[in-house]
Amino acid sequence: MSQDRVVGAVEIGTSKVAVLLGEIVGKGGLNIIGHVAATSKGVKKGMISDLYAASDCVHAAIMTAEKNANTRIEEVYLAQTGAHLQGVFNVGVTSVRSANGVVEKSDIEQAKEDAKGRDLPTDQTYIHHIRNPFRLDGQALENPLAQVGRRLEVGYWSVHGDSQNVSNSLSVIRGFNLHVRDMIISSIASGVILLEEAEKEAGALVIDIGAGTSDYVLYRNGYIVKTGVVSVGGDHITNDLSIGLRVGRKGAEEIKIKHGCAVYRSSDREETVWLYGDLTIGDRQYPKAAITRIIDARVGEIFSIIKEQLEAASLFQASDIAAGIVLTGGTSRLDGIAEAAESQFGLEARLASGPPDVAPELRCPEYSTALGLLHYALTGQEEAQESAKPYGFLRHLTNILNNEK
Amino acid sequence: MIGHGKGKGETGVGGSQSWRELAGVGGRRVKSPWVWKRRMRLIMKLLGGLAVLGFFFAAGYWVWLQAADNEEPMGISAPAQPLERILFQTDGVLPNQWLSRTVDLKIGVNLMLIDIYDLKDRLEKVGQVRSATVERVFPNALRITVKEHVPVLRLVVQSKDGTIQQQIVADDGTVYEGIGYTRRALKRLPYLQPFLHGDGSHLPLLGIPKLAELLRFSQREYPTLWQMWEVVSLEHYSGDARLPGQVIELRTKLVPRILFGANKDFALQLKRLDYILKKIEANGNPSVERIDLSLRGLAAVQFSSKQVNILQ
Repeated sequence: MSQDRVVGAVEIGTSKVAVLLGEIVGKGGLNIIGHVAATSKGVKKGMISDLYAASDCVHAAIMTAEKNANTRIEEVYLAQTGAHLQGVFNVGVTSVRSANGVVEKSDIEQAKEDAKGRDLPTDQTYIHHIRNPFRLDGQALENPLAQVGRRLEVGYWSVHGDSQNVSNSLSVIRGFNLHVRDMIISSIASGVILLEEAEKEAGALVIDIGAGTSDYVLYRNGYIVKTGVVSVGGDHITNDLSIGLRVGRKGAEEIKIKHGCAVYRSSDREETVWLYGDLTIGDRQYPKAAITRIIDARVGEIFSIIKEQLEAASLFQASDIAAGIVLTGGTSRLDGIAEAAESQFGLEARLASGPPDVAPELRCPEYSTALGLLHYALTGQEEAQESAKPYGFLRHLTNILNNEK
Repeated sequence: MIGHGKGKGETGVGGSQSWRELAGVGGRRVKSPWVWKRRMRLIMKLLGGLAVLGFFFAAGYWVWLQAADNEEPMGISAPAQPLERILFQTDGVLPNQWLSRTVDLKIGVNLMLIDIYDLKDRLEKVGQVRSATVERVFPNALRITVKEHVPVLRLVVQSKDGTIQQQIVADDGTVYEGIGYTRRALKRLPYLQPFLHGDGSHLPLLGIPKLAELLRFSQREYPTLWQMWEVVSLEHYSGDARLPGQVIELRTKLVPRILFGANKDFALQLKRLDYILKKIEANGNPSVERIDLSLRGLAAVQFSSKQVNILQ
């Protein structure tokens, strides 16, 4: 059955709520029919701290998007972030049961179950089980079915998070009477839309630096081998500037946007910048060196934490990340941030450029995650349609009314 | 599925301890005022849609009713009451009694039940009536307006049973029984001696309009002459003035025969006649047998003494 459906991609971030409306046409088409970015409330470091405030702003954003597109969302793809997200690499192992050593489907399922069936603490919830390649007697295979061997292994990068935090995100969407079709962590959503297949094969690190957190995903040989969340983001840089320069948060944010640079250069010592630049009362001069040193330190900290986490997992080898680093998220707009990443990781780094086939205003780094969610909706639609409930009369009537202009 | 096309690294999650368990039925819902607004928006749209559908259904039903109604005559009732008055107007002499006999209408009959077209036909079949109009004057009256023929001649005919009957000839040649004319009015009309057709019949009367022209002109310009006319003879006038020798003959007490050329100028002929009669009077009224005005540029006067004078 091929039927058009309207899906919503919702990212509840620390500083903003992004909502994209996508119309999935047939089995391979996606039209982005609406988008809204609204100021976020009740969210700290990517986690919902005030359910009612968060619900209010998320519902308002969804309502506005629906109104602008004159349609109703049928289901939601929801991004998840926050420092509560953790990952663990589980390996499932099974012995091939047939006498002749030919791998059967049941052997594959057994290995998968073994890897995914690990119990978590009761307050934790799985969000993703990301499969890595199979290994048959130590040899990496994409599909071991009908191959001959004795020992079959499969590894899963399993992402889990705090049940309460995950439940909070779901409650916000359910409160608007919408069904969450899938939940995807922000780093994976950004990675899937920003990287080409060849880059994933070559190995690439995508870092999404938001306001409250920095999410990353590492691809090797086309597989996601690690994800992580660092609970430091653009807001921390603003906070540091506010304290270091003794200026209010608003002024610090303005300095960060107008004069911020992620790399300290010796030439900055001779340069001063004005807070507002319009010579009004309260306008002050600041040494640029003070600004860039603060930002340099904080950005360097973010990158160093990520690097440490990769090294701790023995995954940081330059040869395995040949496609380099791709930076996205609102804070990636900071001047010199790619240079700072290159300096920290010793790898080539670049700023993400959104997909060329979307509207220019959606190519900015703030929408990477939401676009990735829609990509998920498109590529995962066959599975979604199989489990989709048949439309009732009222749903059909609603669709007709929504589509009339 | 990430890495589409290769099937690498599926990310799905299910089973125990997955987030889908938290999203199951009965989970928490945190509502905001926007939910209510969204629901109201949907309800309003549904109601609006139903209203539009209802409108179209009603419009369709109305059109269907109209189409069904058109198959039968429209039942529109006029504000009619029983007939109470008949308003009769004529430009002639027909009396109310004649109307009562002719139309045979009864007071009290429903005004809408009166067939005014049949009534008009019946009125116009009466020879004296040139045209008639019949109107309903709501709520309770009928107006009948009649235009009558103008009488110019009298005609005496004998029926097959031998009875003598006087009829009236109108200026267009219509012959009818005169109703309502006074004796004096009838006495002024000259008698007509009609042209006899090949079958011996005098009907239809032809050339009367031309003759009426002569009579009207003489009545208007020479009333004393006109009063003398007693008989108009169309014995030598077939009705077609273009034919040669077409003569209208007038008979008076003074002059037995006065001949007018039918295709000549009546004004000139009457002027000559007036002159001749005055000349005769001046000469002591000698007995005149005939005055012929139909000659081209001349008038001939034949006296009883057989003497003929030619005047130019």
